[in-house]
Amino acid sequence: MNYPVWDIPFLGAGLVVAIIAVIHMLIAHLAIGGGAFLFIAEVWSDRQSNGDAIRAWLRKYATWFLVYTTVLGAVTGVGIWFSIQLASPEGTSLLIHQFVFAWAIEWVMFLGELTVLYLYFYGWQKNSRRMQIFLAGAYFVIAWGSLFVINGILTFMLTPGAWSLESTSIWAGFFNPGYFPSLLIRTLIMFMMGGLFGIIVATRINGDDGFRNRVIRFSARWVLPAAVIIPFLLIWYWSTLPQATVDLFREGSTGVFGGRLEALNRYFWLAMISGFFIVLGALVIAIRPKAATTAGAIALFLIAQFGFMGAEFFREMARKPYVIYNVLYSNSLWKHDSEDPALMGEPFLSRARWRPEVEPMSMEHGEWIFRLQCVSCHTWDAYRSLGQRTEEWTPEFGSRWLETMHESGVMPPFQGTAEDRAALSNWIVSQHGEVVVEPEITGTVEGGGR
Amino acid sequence: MIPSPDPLGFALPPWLIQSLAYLTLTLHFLAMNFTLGSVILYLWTRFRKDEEYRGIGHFLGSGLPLGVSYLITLGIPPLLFVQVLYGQLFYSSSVIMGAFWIQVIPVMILAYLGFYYFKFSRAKGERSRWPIVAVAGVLLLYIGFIYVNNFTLTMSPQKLLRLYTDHPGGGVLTHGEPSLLPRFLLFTGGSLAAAGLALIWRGIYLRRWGMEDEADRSQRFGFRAVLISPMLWAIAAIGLLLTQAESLNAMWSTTGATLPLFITGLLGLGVTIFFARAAVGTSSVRSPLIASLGMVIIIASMVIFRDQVRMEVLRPYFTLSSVPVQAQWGMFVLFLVTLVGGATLLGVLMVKVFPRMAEGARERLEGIAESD
Amino acid sequence: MKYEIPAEAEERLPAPDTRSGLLSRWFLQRFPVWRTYEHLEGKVVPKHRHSVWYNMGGLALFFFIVQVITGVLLMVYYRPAEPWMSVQRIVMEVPFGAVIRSIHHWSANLMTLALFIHLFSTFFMKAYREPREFTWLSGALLFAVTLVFGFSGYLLPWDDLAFFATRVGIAEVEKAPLLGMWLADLARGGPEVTVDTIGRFYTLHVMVLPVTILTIIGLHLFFIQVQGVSEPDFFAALPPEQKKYEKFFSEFMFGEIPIWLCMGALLVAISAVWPRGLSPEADPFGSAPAGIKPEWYFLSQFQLLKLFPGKIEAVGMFLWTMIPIGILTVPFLDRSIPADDRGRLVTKIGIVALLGLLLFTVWGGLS
Repeated sequence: MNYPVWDIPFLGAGLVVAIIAVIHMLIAHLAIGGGAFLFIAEVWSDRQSNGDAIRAWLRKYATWFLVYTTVLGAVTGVGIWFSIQLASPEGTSLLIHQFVFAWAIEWVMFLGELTVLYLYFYGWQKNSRRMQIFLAGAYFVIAWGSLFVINGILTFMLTPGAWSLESTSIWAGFFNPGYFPSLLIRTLIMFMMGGLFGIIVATRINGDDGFRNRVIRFSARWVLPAAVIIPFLLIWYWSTLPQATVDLFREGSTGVFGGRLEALNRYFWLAMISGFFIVLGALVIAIRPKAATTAGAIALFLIAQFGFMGAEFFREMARKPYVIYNVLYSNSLWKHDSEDPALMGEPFLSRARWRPEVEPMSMEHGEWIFRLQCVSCHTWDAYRSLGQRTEEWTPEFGSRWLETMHESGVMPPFQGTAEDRAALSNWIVSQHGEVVVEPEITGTVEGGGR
Repeated sequence: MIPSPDPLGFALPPWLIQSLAYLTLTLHFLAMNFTLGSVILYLWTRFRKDEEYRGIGHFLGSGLPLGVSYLITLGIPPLLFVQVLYGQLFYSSSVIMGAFWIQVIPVMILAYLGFYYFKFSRAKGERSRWPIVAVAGVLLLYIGFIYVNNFTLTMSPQKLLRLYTDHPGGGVLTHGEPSLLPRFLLFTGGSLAAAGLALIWRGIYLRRWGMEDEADRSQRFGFRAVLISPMLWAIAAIGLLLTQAESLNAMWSTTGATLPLFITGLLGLGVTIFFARAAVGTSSVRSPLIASLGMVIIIASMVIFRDQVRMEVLRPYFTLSSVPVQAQWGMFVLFLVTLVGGATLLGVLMVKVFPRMAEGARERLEGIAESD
Repeated sequence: MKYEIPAEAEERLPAPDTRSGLLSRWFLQRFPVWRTYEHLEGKVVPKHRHSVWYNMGGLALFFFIVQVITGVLLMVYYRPAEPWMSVQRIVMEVPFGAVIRSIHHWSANLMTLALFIHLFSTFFMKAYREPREFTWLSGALLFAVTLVFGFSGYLLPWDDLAFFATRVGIAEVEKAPLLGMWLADLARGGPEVTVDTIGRFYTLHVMVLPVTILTIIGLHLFFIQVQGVSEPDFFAALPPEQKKYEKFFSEFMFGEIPIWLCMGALLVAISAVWPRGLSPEADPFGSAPAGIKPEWYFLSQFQLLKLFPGKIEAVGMFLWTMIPIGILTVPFLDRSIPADDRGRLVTKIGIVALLGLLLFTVWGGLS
């Protein structure tokens, strides 16, 4: 409980991160795959009789690509960083301190990526053909390098592998079990995104239908590698997931409440179905390029956005209830602390730094436990609504439930005494409009933080 | 009452991380000052409605998207290193003003898109949309204001708990810190100087291309802009003396960094003004280069000064030396290799591409001259 | 005796020694549809800056197809005798039951939304004018049937929310003059909403309405195939060489596929984020949950009627009856091509109606 918890109503800090991240992830993949697309298309244009027409189309591609990736992509990338600071300062601090030079190298890649892209774009028709092709290629290599780095940190959170707080071995954490399957899947998705973006720009070509059709087909082909290879990579990726996650997934579709389909499963299927639809749509467009419209091409792009939503939500939820698997819970409780009964049994507010002075067993007592232990994942009435989940609660039931909630595997253990549980449970029930008789004060909450 | 530092400790001795932070933050402030100054000077040329300033306005307006791009990118490493050094304070203060801190992102996107929209709509020959530049400039200032707030908040650990329990939703912006405005002015004050120097540089190339008139205009105008910044800095300095006398005094007695930094800054200022003046009317890169170095020295001394004040203010609560160091030398070397390699590659490419790009700029400029 | 293949077909079919040539001849000898084929082939869709609205009818159709598929799947487990229990079983136990139900729910909403947009876009493009009056009228009928679909389907889970919303909804019907009381009793199967109401609504929802809607959809599509897509005034006024068309079959249809796929993904996405919940079983003697409101597509009427309480209720009734009456009569009031003053007035009234609809819906949603 080192840090204050950002209590943002309605959305919840987690959803703020998710919204920014889902937008960013799509653009980030496009930003890299688009580099490969520019490079190959530059080479392709040199081998075609109408190279100039192709390059005129590429210029449009590059313009939209530049604005889209350097504005929305770059700023939302920084935005993820901003939002995770707010949502999970403890986890962010760990990632920053452990991987500070990975971040720094990532920044070098980023700086190089931008600069090379500007040289490519602003040197249009001035640079020699060789230079232009070299710049496009260099852009792709550097941009892919930034994936190479960030992928280590991303996958670390779900599968830290042999890394531990004691060893703090960077290489074990960085090249963790999930690293390579994730790297390859993302690389293929990138090519796909580069192609989908190409289709959109190609549908804007006016006049020459034959040329338009050829460019559309060229772009649609970029979906193919992902369509063919990713299914196999997914099997590999799946094998690296923590056993508890796999169990949770199985329970989520076949367990007692299997019909309900847990969120983890729902997002998995969203990703799969979106991927399938993209392949299907790209196939239709490749077969009938004449029928391709800009609206249709944008529709495919939007499907990709849904797919990213599914995949990234899945990745985030697969970690539940941890922010760094088996190391740090989502509400900033360290796993090793949670295994210390003496610490966990202490009156919670006496260990909490970020709280006002409150009367023991008062409503404020419960409210501040809610804020410090629950709010990093739940809002009261909207995203992951605690209100909805506790509609049927009585104070006694709540108290008992809190005591064993971690046994479900998706919640962290409750921190605090029986009184803390009662205070939280009372507060929750009172929020539903029921009058809770405040029980007698049986203990005191020690004042002051550490 | 402040959170404990991260258990992993520092990945390098703090002085080294501080040096990296100083270096990159200086670059960030330069890019920020250049962008902000370009906005102000561009708007000024618009209001003059003087045909003479059209070329200058065009130059400044075209640079805006790139300026923003680099100010963002160069802002990343100092933000990274400050999280390593002062993470426990920075995260706390960010959460406490979370509702504002997160606004940096959408506001930055709006401003950035605005600059691009402005640039492309003008390239298409549409009427120049200066109000967009004005709005985007105000948005940038707003972001700067949020930043200054956050970083002054990290220096007031005694206030944090109270602010949080009063506003758990992160709705704190200003928090009654008297040094807020002087600090804001100190770091935005160099904007006109940075953009002015850019105009002096521009004059050098124009002169080489034989456009003497435009070169003169550009350099004279640039020099006048450079002269305004010292006045703003003077006001900011007086403000700081009035509001932070205590910590400045303490710094005087402990590290004694106040006076040397102040003198370095003044020297840098002298160098900048002298050589900026000397650059007017010439086509040699020597004077503008030295003037620019002077500018770097000014900003760098402010950056270091700023961090020294922070350490001084925090001394009762937290010192960097209290945090264990678990050095990651291997990773550091890897970073240096990447940085040097990357910089070399970019340098080579720039040397090759810039002349071509300049050629394009020249053609466009001649196009403007012909259309007059 | 086989049918003969027309000479003009022989010219265009693939050579008889190829597989496709054989197959097409085999088919045409049994089904003499060459004329129809030629007609359909000639159908075109105008291409202009408002072309995107031509996709809306197709979208509604797409959502309807999703409704049929998910509806049939839900029917497998739904039992009108134990409505709430069986829906709970669908949600809790049946594999993918909750998702199918969520998709059914969201697709119904999106279908209604697509129809709203389809209705207003054809209205503003004045596609209802002759010779397409009956296409318009059949469309209006489809819209009405869809609303009844929504209303009847809403009750079937028999939870708190469904029960009270339906009770409030039918109570509004009661207030209608003349037939109101009788209609309400007919719908409820008595003076109260009971399990008997479920039987009525269920039969309506899975039998009567589907047969009705399929018939009208068939008619509607048939009209469109026969008459072709209408051209808005600004397009019709273009000189022929500037008019661009797209062939309906293959081109327009293939162009729609990515959009349909996108809507499919959207359905899955919404259902993943907001799965349809199930409230506690309806308790006719319990108290209504706070803030009970009809679905969003009835909200504007609901809000309008609230403005006229008690004795002046009839005014509200009258006001909102003007909307269906207007929709039904507009093809006969506004006939001039290109639009004259009256036509422009009708457009303005349409804009006012649309804004009013949006305003009252948002107002109803917020209050």
